[in-house]
Amino acid sequence: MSEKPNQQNPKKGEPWKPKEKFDKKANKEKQKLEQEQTKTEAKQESKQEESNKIKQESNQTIQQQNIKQVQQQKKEEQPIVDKQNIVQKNEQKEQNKRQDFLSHLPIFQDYTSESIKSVKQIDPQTLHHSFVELCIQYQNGQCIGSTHRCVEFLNALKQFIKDYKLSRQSNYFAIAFVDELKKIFNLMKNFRTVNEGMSTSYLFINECLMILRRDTKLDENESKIWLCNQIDQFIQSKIISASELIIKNATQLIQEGTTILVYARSYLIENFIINYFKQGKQLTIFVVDNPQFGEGSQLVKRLQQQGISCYQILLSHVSYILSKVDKILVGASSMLCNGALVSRVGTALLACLASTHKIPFLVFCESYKFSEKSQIDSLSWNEIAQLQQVNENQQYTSLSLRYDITQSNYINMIVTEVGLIPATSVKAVIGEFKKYNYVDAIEVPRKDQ
Amino acid sequence: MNSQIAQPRLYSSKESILALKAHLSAKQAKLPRNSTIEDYIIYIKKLSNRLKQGPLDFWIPNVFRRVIQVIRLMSSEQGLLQIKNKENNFKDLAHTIQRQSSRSKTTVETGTETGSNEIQQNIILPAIEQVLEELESHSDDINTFASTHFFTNEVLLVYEYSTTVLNFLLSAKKTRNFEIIVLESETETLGKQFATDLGKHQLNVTLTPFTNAYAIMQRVNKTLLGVDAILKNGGLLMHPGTYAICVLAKQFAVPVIVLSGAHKLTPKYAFDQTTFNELVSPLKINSNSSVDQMSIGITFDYVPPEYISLYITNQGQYTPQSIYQLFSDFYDVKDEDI
Amino acid sequence: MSLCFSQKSDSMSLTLKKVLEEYNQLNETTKEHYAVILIKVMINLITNSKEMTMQGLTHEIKTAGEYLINNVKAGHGRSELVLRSTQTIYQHYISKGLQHLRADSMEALKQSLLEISQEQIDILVRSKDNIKTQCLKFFNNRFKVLVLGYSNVVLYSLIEAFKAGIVMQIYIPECRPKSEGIETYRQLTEIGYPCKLIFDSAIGQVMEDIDMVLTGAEAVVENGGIINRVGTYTTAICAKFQKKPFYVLAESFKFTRLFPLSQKDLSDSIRFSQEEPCFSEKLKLPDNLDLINPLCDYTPPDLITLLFTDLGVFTPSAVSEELIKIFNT
Repeated sequence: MSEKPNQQNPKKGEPWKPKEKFDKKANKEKQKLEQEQTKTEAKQESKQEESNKIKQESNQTIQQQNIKQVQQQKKEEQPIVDKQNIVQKNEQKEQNKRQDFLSHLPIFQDYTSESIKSVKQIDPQTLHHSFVELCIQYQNGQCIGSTHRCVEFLNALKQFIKDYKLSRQSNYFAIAFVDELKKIFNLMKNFRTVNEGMSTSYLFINECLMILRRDTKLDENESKIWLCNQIDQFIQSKIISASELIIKNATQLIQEGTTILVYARSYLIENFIINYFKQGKQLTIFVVDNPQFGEGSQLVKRLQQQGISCYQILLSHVSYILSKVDKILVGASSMLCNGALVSRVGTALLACLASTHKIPFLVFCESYKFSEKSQIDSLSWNEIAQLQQVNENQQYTSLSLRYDITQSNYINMIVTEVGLIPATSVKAVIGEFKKYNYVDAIEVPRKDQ
Repeated sequence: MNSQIAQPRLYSSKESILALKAHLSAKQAKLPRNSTIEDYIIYIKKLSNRLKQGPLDFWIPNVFRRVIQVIRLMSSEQGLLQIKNKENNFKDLAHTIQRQSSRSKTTVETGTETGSNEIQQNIILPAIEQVLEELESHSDDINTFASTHFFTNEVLLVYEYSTTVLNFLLSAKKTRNFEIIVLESETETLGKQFATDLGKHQLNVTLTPFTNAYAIMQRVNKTLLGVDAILKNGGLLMHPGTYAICVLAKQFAVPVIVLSGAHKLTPKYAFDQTTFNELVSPLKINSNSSVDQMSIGITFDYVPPEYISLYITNQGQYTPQSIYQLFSDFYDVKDEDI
Repeated sequence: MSLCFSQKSDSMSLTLKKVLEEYNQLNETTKEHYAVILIKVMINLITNSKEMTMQGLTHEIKTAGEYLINNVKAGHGRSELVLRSTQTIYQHYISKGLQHLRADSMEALKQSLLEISQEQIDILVRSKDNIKTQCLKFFNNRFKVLVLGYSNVVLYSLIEAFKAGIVMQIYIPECRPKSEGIETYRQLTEIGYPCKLIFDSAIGQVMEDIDMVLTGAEAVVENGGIINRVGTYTTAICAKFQKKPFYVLAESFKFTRLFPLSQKDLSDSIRFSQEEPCFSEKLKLPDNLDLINPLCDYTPPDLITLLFTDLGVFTPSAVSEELIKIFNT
């Protein structure tokens, strides 16, 4: 904290205040205006450019909406004549929303590399191929698991930054890219729900852009390189070294010969086990699998490749071995500030069983997945997984969720890179991180001249 | 034990009793001409042990036990069965006293000589008929309780396939409106079949995988379960996953109602998950698992009595604490060793 | 009149003294269970009785029983509960027998009563075997068992299981203040059982590793709860919290018609032991030690998983039905 002001660009002469920063985030638009007034004419130009762009966009969307409305009206008129249209209309409705108690949850459409361009948030011309690939990976389950998804997102973003060309009208990278980033982030929401790791990284990049815009006079190329470096650093410090620290913490925590039970597939836990066995220590491992996602068998295969043998068991059969288990380890998609755990569906059931059998329940989670949201049940927010093909004649609704919210009273410990904490301390950790802009101090770039 | 048949337990119970009937009416020769009721009972016990398919087959012994009990009841009504000799506990001390008193009266009753043919006609075959009738009508008898347990627009959770539960719900539908959530088992696809069967009757059905149980339990008002075996301590044996569901239900204070014909009463005690269990082939759980994968799969989940709110049987409604009464009415303690 | 009465009471007190002597002698010389001894004493009483009427005989049996219960130390510092329940059941069947029997002479009547008594002894002796058979069905080699206190029937079942090749890991709490656990430990290790002695205060710590808790009982009460040596309740709570099964092995002559709802409902003789507790000599005890030293505690039925009795295996709720059956048939 104390070092930070020294790193600030002295030319600006403004003392750095952390509190102001939070205000900034809250009133981003206001800040923008203020700053832009103080900047050069060229920037004003770009600002005009931006606002024009926004206007254009909004016009476009309004037009689109109008067209849609007209289309809908037409459809509504037609049904009396044509029965088929009713069916079609109903089907359309069903595709976007469920009719039952989960009508508040979005349903993700299946995109192909072509149909993805029809998503309205993005201009098909500027859509980068890396995001198309990412979208396909998200949807076919190739890219699954919160860490994996976050890293892939950041990599795609890096690709995009490298290939990004500033349009002729705007010549300031940082300003133009903020909007671009926002658009991309909104785009991602169409494929899968955005996980907390991705949100944190988004906030982080936004923060970087803010610094870039305010404090430096790097040109486009330099800005890109700096930003990519920052992203790399984020991956390095928040994901890679954090996971190493967690594994180290866990290795100290778990005694040799313990019987552990793990659920689904978590990279952290997988690496922890492999690392543990590499040290020549033994564990008895039960891997709990769920046939929907098949993540348990993936983990078993990975472990077997490493020469580690483990028992595989289905979630519903777990009662049989529970009395033999010493510790249950699970990974996390995110930890919410009320101490609840968001992770693969089935975890809450396991946690509930663990608490009735008094088995310690441990969550492995990097702190960048901590979120300021809070939730107390699994239905108010969730993601619906489209895993089964819906049959035409099916007379029942099928429902398959992706996540479970596990309440903090079921969780005995969270293993993070900042240490071993109880579930109730998530909020405190988030507070600490907010002070440091989610990562350690961002080094303000200077132009070396 | 073939679980692909939708209703394996009832069929095997019914089939075995039909087999018994056919056997006894056709093959008299094996029993001597002047055999008594006791001889018949011993003979039926022997048959039961021969028909039984392994230690986890409770249904055939159960139904044979019931036949023997009905034979006992019928013959004691007709005064054919003599009080059995010396037993080991206080309850029978009373018999001793009575015996002594009758001896002092010096009127020793000797049972009227009855031929085995007569016994068969008057007792054995009617007893078998009665048990058959009990088996066939058990669903209707359970359904009489259907309307009393639900309120309007209730959300009910069911697991796996159970014909008893299906019939119960269909019967309840006549008077009440409710929503059903079917939990699908991880190993078998009968949940889909259940949802389809319920959906056919215009019920509001949602099918969801087992892993979603926790999320869905928040919405559930009552849990309805079929059962493989009701044990004497009030616990039950059922498809794997039932234990987890019951633990969840307890956490959410959702009542668990178990529907079952009385022929599933099994006079045994389970002490933990391992008492009555068998590991199944990994291939049955995961068809593409290789042999070197150490997969664990089980046949039953044992649910301790504290997780169950109510048993509804064709013989009445019982709490797990009082189900032993039904056991002592339904079977004789002497036959528990079958 | 008064003279006659005093003569009678004199002869009665004489009989009572004789009975007590006989009991104490048998208790010292034989290894039999004191419930069995009680009935044996009663048999002698009936045989030697000079009473010429049925009422007189019943009265004599009753008074002698009461006298014994109040004046005898049952052994191992137990409460009088077992004697009381045995006496109640014995009395019940004697009077039942007297009601039904139509004997021609007093001698024949006595003979019948003796038969009933002998049969009761048989039942008592056999009950241990019955419980053992029930237990063997569920004992298993891989079990870790916590055995509480010193109980004849528990020891017998465990030893029989050992003979049948079932060797379980056994944890035995010391069971202060009488330290009966040490006696259990000795008897079990003598035949080669793997045993571990633990302090009572360590029960909570050990409970995690254990598969089940086995205990005897001094009395099984109407609602299926038990009264047993102090510490049973604590252990049962511990087991319940860890979701471990808590099994009680009790012969049916321990069923009593008591219905306690809390610890306060136990009689004072059970709640406050008169005996001086022994402390280690190394301890420097304060002079005026105000010590609460209960003999037994009451374990409510919801902490008990199953009761193994000679009548069968019961859930606690089935006990009251069995009690009704015993006393109404």
